[in-house]
Amino acid sequence: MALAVELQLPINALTQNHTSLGRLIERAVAGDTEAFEQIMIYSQQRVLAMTWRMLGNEADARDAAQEVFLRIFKYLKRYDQNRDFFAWVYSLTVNVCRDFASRAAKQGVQFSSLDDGLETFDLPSEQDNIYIEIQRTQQLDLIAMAIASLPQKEKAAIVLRDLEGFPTEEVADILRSSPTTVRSQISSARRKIKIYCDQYLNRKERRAL
Amino acid sequence: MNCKHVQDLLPLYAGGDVEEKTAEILAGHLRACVECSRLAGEYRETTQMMQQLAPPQFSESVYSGIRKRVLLEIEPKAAPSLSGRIDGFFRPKHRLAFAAGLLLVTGMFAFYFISFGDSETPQIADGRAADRTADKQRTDQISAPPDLDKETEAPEAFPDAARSIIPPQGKVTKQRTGRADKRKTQAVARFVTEKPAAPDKPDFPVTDRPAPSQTLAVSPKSRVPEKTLRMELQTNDPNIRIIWFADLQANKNSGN
Repeated sequence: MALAVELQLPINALTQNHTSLGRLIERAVAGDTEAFEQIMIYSQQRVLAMTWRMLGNEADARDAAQEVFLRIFKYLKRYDQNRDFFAWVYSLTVNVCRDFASRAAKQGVQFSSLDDGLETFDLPSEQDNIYIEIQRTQQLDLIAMAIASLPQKEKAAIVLRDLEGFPTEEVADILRSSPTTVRSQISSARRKIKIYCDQYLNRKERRAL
Repeated sequence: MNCKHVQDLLPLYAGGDVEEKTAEILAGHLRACVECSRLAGEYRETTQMMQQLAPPQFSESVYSGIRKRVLLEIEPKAAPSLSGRIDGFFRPKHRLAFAAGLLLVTGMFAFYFISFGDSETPQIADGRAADRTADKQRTDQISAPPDLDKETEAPEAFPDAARSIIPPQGKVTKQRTGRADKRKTQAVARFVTEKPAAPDKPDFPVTDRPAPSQTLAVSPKSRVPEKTLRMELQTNDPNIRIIWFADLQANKNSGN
């Protein structure tokens, strides 16, 4: 729910298909490009946010979002109206991002990593507001890079669960996996992210003090 | 539950992904264990940071650019292509209509060739149509003037000539509706003073009158001197016509 407010989306669209959306889908399947454009407008924020979270940079996120919409158009006739539309969209998005990541890996390209000049930093004093804002920004950058370092399956699971806010069962549905497997992937991802952040937040040093 | 088991479950516990009963057990352990409690706090902090990780605010131009590129890609697919239209034309419901139309056209062609195919080509048929008009005019000339019959009789100087030229079976009536093989003896004599028709056009008056008289036509408005006789012999070949001129005055003078 908080995510829907953040993205300024209709709240009921998160969990169930809207009636007008159903009509738009039918028209788009019949070849109505205007209806498909409406579907894109309806889902563009989520798709682009998801691709950005999965790929870690805007340029790749835009290309991936474009590919997601092309796949939506291509496979829209196969869409099962009983299934949540956005779960289906997220499923396509995850697959596209995996393809992008594997293609980049073959070409020797790495998405954003922590080696881009980020160094260890001490947490500033909470009394200084400027430093609080800087601290928050740095922490978010750190989390983004930690997520980017995860394996694709764990990344998809943790993004859907913690960033997009889906319950574990829906994450399993989107990823076409079992809840147990998804839970294991989420646990592993959180542990790796914490270890990753420990290096840069000087948690061990703080513990020693 | 010892610390190792608790620490294994802490990532899920921090995100609320453990069952209620397990969560209660873990909470009890964390109240008693400082190290596990500190680790749980760090997991919770990391998870909260992740949940705050919002994507950048993309401008509308970014979204519209993506939509524009997507629409450019899909519009050719959405609009039916030429091959698609052809395929659509040959869909079952259109296929029957197309077959019916084809059958109808084929039937019309077959009917046409059966009716006219072995007689003449369309060009000849067109030529005949023109001839019918000319013949009609000629027939009118024959029947209209009451004194014309008198003039169209064979001249006395050539009674035998006209009869000998026209074969007994040389019927020329209604030849235009008959076939080419029926036009056997069209060698006819015509005493005309008008300009003869084009050689490629059959020039037979259509009338029910007896053969000798119907083949004779003399225009009262002829430019040829009245004392000159022009006789045309039409052979079986429509391209060959024998035209003979005779000076009647000279014959009369010599007869006298």
